[in-house]
Amino acid sequence: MAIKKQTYGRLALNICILILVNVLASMLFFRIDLTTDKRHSLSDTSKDILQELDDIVYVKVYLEGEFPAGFTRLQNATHQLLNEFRSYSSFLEYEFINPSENTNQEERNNLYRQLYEQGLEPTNLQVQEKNGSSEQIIFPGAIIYYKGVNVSLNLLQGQFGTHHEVVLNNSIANLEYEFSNAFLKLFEQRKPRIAFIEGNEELSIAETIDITNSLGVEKGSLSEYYQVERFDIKEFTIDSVTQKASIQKQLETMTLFQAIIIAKPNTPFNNLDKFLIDQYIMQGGKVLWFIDGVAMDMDSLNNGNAFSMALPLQLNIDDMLFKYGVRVNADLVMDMQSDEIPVVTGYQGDRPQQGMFPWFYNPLVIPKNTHPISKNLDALRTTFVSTIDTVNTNSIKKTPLLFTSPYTKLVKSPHRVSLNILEREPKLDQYKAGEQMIAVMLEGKFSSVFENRINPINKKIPLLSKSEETKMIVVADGDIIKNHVSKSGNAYPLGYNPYNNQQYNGNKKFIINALNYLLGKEELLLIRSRELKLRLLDKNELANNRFFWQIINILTPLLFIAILGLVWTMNRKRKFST
Amino acid sequence: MKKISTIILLLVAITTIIYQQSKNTIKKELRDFAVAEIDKVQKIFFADRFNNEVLLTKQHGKWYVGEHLARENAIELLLNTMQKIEVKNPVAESMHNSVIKSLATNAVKVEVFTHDENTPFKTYYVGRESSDHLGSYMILENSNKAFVMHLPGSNGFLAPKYNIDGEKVHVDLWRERAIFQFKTNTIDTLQITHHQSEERNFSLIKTNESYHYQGEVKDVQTEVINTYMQLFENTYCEGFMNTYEKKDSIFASTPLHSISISANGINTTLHTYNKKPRQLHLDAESNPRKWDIDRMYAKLGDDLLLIQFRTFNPILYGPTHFAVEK
Repeated sequence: MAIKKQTYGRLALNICILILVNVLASMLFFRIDLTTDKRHSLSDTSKDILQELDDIVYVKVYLEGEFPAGFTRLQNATHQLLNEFRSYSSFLEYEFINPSENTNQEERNNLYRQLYEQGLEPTNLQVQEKNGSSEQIIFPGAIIYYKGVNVSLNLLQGQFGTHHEVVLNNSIANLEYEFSNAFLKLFEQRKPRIAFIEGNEELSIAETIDITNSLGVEKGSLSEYYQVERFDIKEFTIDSVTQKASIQKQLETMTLFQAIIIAKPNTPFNNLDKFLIDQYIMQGGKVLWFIDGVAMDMDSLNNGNAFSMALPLQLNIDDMLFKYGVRVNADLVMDMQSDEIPVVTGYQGDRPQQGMFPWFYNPLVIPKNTHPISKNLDALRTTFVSTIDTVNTNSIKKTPLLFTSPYTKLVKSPHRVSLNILEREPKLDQYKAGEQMIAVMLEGKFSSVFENRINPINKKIPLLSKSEETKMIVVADGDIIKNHVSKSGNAYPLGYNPYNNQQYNGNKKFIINALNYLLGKEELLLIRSRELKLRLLDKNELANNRFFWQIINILTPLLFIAILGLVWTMNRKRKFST
Repeated sequence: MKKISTIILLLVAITTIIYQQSKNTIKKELRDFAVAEIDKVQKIFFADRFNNEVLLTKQHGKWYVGEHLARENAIELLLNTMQKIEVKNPVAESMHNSVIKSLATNAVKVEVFTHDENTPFKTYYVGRESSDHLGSYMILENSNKAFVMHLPGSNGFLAPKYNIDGEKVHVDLWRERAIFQFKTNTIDTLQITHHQSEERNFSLIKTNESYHYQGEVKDVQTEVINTYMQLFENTYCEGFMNTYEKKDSIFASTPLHSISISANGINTTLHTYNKKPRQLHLDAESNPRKWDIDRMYAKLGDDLLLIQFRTFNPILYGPTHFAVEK
């Protein structure tokens, strides 16, 4: 009886200890991540975002079912990440859904259509079965609900020319950023104002419609993050007292925008334009420049001409950019890693026969650097891109963001651009100019271009000669932000080549990341720079010693258990033999 | 003792692992609206806040609403919805109280019975549509957690799939809408009466497997009569309107037409009545039409029906329809 009482007493004690340990654990919450790349640890930014949650965030992940190993890894990583998120916020709920579960084909297709319309991109998988292979459609994405609004999130990131295992690994590495970014989008009540500058024949509304509002089903546009407006720098408010155009008022209006985008101007800036932009920067304004070094576009070649002259584009801003720390060169990069254009190769009767040819003046830029703005981006489509040189300015930090491939050739303007180059095989030894920088970020305290000069505009307006800490990004191609508009006025998605139906998603993401970085979301973007090392099997070793490694994998755990059992038995024998 | 402690620790560990592996973080008992084995459902009961009740029962493989046969497609849609509804999203905490209040005052109670006919297998409440109109607020009985529910792949809210009209349920919405379902040659006599133009009245009387025409026209086409009789094989009304407050005054008015059918010793009579148009319709002289040109009311037994000219015009042809063309 006494033994029984003791037993129950111990049991009660153990249960109490268990409860106490749990209570203490919930009070003293900590986690230890033993992985070298800290893959199970959230960034402080994500933790802050999660701790700010004030209502239920419901994440529906459409990644459930039988997948190949790579997608199972993505699924598990998403699952783990969401569990991690839940450790920091009890408001987060999630569900994994298999959209292909319904056996009714019509209903299944309706769901596919609905998910596609909501912005999730389908992926076709070849699944190996006993009797061959079959095709499976999956939607590696999630829809996140918060207070009656929702955003969709594609977990698999398209990366042109990248091995699918690397794409999956990069997608896994970016999961935290993508989710945190989506949460931020949902929480942001008042969007910051940004503006496209007009007045110097910049890109029109139609030519920037995709980056502004997202034309395609795939979401991702500036208006998801910002209130995007257009601001004509030459259109002034008339002062009611003096009845004159108010420069001060113009500057005040400009400073309401947290960032301005100067998208492919074509006519020279006058001193007043330069003064306004300069003083906007001096007041801490952020600028995203998309500037062409030479005046050249495909329309010049399409109008029946076999060639056209690429001439230096005189925008009258060289001195400004030079003062800030860069120079956009009046040259063109010809890159063997390029997009294609259609060219008439002959006629069959009256009908022209077309072929697609790589057009070296349209380099495809595949970002390789680790800066959060451009890391793991899909290819960017460029058109007649120039190079950028940085200038020695002490207080400015310069970070290159985009480089062409190493297989380049530089041509100085004036340069004769001709379709005839397609007729000849390119000489590889000419394309050895190496990687060319085409985008750079400048950070620091900028000096005004009007510093030590007489105020060119109005002496009554105080001239700021040194800026606050601010940033700008200069891209040496205006077309990176330009979506194609057909002659009939139809706009195509940014980065889309209508001739071969190839979509390059890098343009859009680069611009969004760039603006997010400029406007203080760098902490969020830093999550993007996390590197998860891909630990793939050594294919050569696998081919040579497959059986050996299979045996090792099977026997090692068994051996381990056997040793453990042996030690346990020996221990017991020793204990009870006395 | 050690063993018990080990077992407890193991159970705790296993529970934690299972919880970690769960692919849905919302407790099943809070979101378990769907009826997986829909074939086992035998009875469905609806009740609204106006004390209207509808009882759907399955008898010998067919569904009935009260003593009437229920519409097959409506039942199919309901069962499919019940089987496949999913959580669209939980109701935001900031809105939860107002949604609960709204459910308490507007929702329709749905009870689903399987084999045990006295205890519902599942009970939940279907409320109003969510703000984006892509789901409906719903809550399970004895739960304090409301959800926006939807049918995956379908864009819309769920009340129409449960045949809820606004916030009301009614037997009429579930009833089979077939008025005449007489197989060929089962009609013994048929009489069409045009109360406003008696010269158009006629009757057809079955004699020796063919129909004898009685009316103004002398020479009739037999084939036309045979085709005409086929119209009574499947004639549907648009809906039942037994809750319409002017039902009695419609029945008290003079009918436009009467269709009397005698088959297998049972007499069936349908009377039609003019219906006022819902919207302003102008005639050729731009005068407002007094009567609806698309629909009529009809009386069949004690039921007030809404019928369409599109269906009944061929039935109400005058005798000239049968006349031999000269």
